[in-house]
Amino acid sequence: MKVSGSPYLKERKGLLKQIIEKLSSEFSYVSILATDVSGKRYQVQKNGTSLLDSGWGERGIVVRVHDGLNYTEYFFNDLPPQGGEEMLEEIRRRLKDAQASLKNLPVGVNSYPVAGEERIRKSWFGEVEILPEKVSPEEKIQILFRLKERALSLSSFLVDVRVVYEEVQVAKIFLSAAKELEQSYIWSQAYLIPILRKDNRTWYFFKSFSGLKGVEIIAELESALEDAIRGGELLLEADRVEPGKYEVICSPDIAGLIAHEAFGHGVEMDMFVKNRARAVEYLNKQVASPLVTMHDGARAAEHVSSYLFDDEGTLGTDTVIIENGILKGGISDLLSSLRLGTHPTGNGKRESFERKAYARMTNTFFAPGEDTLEEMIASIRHGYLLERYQSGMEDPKNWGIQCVILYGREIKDGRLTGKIISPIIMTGYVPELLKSITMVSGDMSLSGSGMCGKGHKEYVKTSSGGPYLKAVARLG
Amino acid sequence: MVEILKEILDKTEGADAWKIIDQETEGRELFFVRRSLDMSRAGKVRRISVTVYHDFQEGGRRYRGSVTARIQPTHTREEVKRIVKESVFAAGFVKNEYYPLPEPAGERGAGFQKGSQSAKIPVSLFSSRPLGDWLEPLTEEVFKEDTGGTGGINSAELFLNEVRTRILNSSGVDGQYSSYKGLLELITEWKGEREDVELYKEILFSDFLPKLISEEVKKQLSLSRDRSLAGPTPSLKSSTVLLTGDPVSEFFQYYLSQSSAKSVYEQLSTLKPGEPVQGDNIKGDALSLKLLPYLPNSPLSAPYDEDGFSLLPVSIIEEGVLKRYWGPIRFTHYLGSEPTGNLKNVTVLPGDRPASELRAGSGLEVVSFSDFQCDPITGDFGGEIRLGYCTDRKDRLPVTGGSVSGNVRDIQQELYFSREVQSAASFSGPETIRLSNVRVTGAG
Repeated sequence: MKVSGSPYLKERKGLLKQIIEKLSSEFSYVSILATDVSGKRYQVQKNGTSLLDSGWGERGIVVRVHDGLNYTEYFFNDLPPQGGEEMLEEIRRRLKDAQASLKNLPVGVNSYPVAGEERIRKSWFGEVEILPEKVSPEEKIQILFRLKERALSLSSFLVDVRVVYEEVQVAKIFLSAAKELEQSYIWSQAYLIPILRKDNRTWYFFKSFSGLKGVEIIAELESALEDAIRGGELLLEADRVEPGKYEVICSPDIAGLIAHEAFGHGVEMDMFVKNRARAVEYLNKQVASPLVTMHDGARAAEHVSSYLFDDEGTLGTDTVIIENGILKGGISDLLSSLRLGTHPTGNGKRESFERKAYARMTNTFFAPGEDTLEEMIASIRHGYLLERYQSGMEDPKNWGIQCVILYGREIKDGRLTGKIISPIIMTGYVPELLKSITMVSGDMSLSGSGMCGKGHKEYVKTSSGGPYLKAVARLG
Repeated sequence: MVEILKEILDKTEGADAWKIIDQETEGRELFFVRRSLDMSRAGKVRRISVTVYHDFQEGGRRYRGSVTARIQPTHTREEVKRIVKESVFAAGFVKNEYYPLPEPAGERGAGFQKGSQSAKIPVSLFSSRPLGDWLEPLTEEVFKEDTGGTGGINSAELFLNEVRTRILNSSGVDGQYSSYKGLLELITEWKGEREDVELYKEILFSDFLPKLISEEVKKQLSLSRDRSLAGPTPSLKSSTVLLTGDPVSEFFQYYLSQSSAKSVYEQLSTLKPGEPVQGDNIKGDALSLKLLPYLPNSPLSAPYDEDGFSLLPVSIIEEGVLKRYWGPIRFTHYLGSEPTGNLKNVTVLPGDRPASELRAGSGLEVVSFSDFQCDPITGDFGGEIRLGYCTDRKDRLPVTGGSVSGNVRDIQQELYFSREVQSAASFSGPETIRLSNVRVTGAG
């Protein structure tokens, strides 16, 4: 079913075009991004239910102008349908105030060229199987409630099970003198989080699901229920890993985390502008095993960060970051590309209209190879199959990596022993880790149920993934 | 919009109670690359959220369902009516045990802090001038210690927001306050002989305190220099580890979570008032933890919580023993516990040993992690080391790489807190804590 556009954006579009036209007499570049993102988050657990507007919701406008030297932005969320002249004055006043208060700053000012734009008029409306409005809140809560009840009957160690479903509709328009772009699509995510207790200690496990999907994603929860509970029970017997270097097999979600943290952040080209990315020194050089090819792009895969245009009005692309182990290029927002003299890749993303656009990842993944998981396990004398990531942290300048992983399955003499280790902190030097990859499986998957920060803020939706990878990593 | 919303709520059948949070934020943002302004941003945003409560009975038990929805300033009266009506309908399927809403301070009934008033929040210096006027002195503070040479500021992002908040509910609460939320994201770098290095730091503030930012920049530059000299962290299977600075507050999050009424109600914690939180046989320092509505320079200081509950300081853990649960009124009510509200500032009593004494002997002191985390449910903690110091009786050598990991429950009987204190964002407490038997994975 086709996702509809935002009536709010449709109604304001004419007014926003007028604002651009009038401001264009004062500024050499004017653009507007208007957003209308809404959704609901349902959570059912043993002792309660919650129904909230999704935290990803936003509705507002950001105006970007070039003042002859560089770019300034003003963001707001109150635009009455009849308030054109009044709002124009307010925007003009705010932009001028902003510039005036910078006059005496004890620093220099970086200059940027005016963005050259091709004339483009495009729109994209996503499709899902079941639109959120086709299923009532009552039905959704009842389905989640039944899942919770069934889950609680599956293990005597359970003290709670959280069943979460979130649906988000993203609608945006981008307008400038040359561009008129519109998109509207739906993504959803769902979680099963069993909480277990044994000997007065508490553990939790999770399974997550995400994609450019509607209510149909709830069916995926149903089929994963038993696995989630058994996964939680495994943790009850887990040991700590003996710190050291091991041969490991990274499951697709851990492979995705490595792609994301190891090289994704490292090739965000606003880091090139700041000279914060070591990747610059390695362009067209070998940084990974020849088995490694890595992509990022809104059009590289169909997942939660697939879109027609980014938050600066650049059309999404498919960027090959690493090809057969050679670093080929980075991902860029518009302003970084203007500074660097490169092409923007459609990776200029904002946390919301209230935040600045940065070079950000979209759908980031390693391409599949030709091995099988069974062959990988059989090839390991002592190591671990790592599954379920919890978090990661980048270090683009010094190429360190931190991945927090929920658990690993021990492999000895080519077989899974049944022993579990949890939790695991995987650290290392990025090229060393990527060069150690010796096997790549033929199947791959993407996951987009988390969120990605830049540093410790600016959270955006991304997906990441890949095939199973065999590598050598330091575990602690 | 708030008056329209109140009127609609009062007229909507089934809206048995309600809460409105109306927040207006004005902000200024500066983005620097080295000593140059790269971009400036300004904004004004209004956020209104409404929670609609619907009461019902089933099997002789009383329930209170609720739905929280966002109201946009651009919503029409008809759209607001539709949102409220749909929320009331959906709240009928949200089956939560009944709980009361806060009443105005001084008018609370049985079980409430009768006659109490909310905490007084001192006025921030930022309120004395328009936001734009603070950009120059703040920028001066950022770059004062960046004097060129081998190291300096790579880039910085400066945010200053004024937030005006009003919280109303159907029980008569109508509180409002202004607060300032400042953030400096700082990347410092140092040119090393082997490689150039950088360090990340996030500084949160709510008041203009001369030298606070410049002193922090100076410290980060010094740490960056040390990182440029650092060797790989050695493997230490079970070691004494000192945490200094930001990771200390994250470490104590486990106790904060375990003592919260929400965690207990949701069975994530089994702690009971009167029980020891660090086990029975404490060999080190016993934890004393308080929650405060106001902490100087904390962007999270507020006289009310999100429910409009008037906040007062409250002692949660004293000498290692849980005194009371804390949290939103809903969860303290469920546990039959005295309400405290959802306080955001944490203070931990320092120890009586100087940090130099805690550092004595061999071990590892970590001052910067990639992202130190302490799981609030399991107590597992750890992170990749960006900068630490390996100490023995003679030397104190900077190290980098590798990781620290452990579980709070396994080591909590022997924690030592420094006499020196830190005050950063919403935390005040010991500058350094010493942990024993922590696993250190080397970088080699």
